[in-house]
Amino acid sequence: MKHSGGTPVYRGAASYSVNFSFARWLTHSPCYEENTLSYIGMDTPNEPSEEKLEEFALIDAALAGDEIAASTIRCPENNARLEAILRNRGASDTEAKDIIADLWTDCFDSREGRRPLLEKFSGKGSLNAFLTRTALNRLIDYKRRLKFRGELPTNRDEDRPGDAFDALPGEESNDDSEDRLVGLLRDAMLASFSMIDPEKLVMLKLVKVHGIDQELAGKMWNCSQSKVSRNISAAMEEIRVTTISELKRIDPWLELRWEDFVGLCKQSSDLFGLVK
Amino acid sequence: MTNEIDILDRFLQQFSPEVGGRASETLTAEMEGKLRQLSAGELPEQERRAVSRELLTNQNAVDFLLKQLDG
Repeated sequence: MKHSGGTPVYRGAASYSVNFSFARWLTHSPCYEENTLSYIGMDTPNEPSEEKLEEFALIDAALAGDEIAASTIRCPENNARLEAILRNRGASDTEAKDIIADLWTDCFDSREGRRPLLEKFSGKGSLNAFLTRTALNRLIDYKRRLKFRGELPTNRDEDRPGDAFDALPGEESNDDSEDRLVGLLRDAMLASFSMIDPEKLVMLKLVKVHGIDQELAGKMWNCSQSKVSRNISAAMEEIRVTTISELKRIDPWLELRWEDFVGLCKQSSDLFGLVK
Repeated sequence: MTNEIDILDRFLQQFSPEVGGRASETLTAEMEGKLRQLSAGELPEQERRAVSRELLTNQNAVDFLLKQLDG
């Protein structure tokens, strides 16, 4: 067994599970149709990397009941890493331990009619990224439920039978396919963009996204290149400040730095985005 | 260094296309005229804000403007 990129690599079950893994990669791949067609046509499909196949082999073995494979995924290093990530994002020590303990259970077991969590791993991104993202989603869900419970209606009819929670709207689904991170990042970003001067935002997008020369942008807005540069810097700084501020407004407990925010946006696009 | 705004823009295109600029309403002749003026640096200051809003929400407006700048 060796470690590569922080994810333990397990080789024990590779002999029987790689074919199944390849089939799963094929059906989960964003290029499924293309791959299937080229497969039928006997062309070489866009094959997954060796590392990806090893990851799938490890998961398949663990789901088939291989204890060594399961403990490779659930190793102390991964456990400590995930707990630390949650603590650094605002979880207490107990919350981090509880969430990660539940995560490991759900990774391998079917509970309440739900598939084991690891069956949902599509191969987009690494297994580590998948586990981290799921853990963060669960932390957000947990903290929001805590806040929700702290806001029980106080003017309910005391004679009415039932728990105070009965007066609340239905519980949110705990389905891991619902990505709360995406909603949080999107809402914070939209709120931030709505606060920025649209002209500065357009300058920023034209220059940084579409590659328009700053001097040309200056001609369009009848200003100097240096003013365009200042506007772009100011807009970017405003986006940083207002986005983090908005995140705090939505989830005050959440500790997220700007670099984390950008990293999570990129990861979201890579995981769920359409193939360009 | 990774272009942060590029990452944010891609994210919005994917998860909030209606405000990420993927909306593609047909441009009116009036808006096309204003975009031509902007590309030539001739759009009056008081109209730039409205045109900027259009550019932030309508991919067709961006494409039209870029075509003007290319030409």
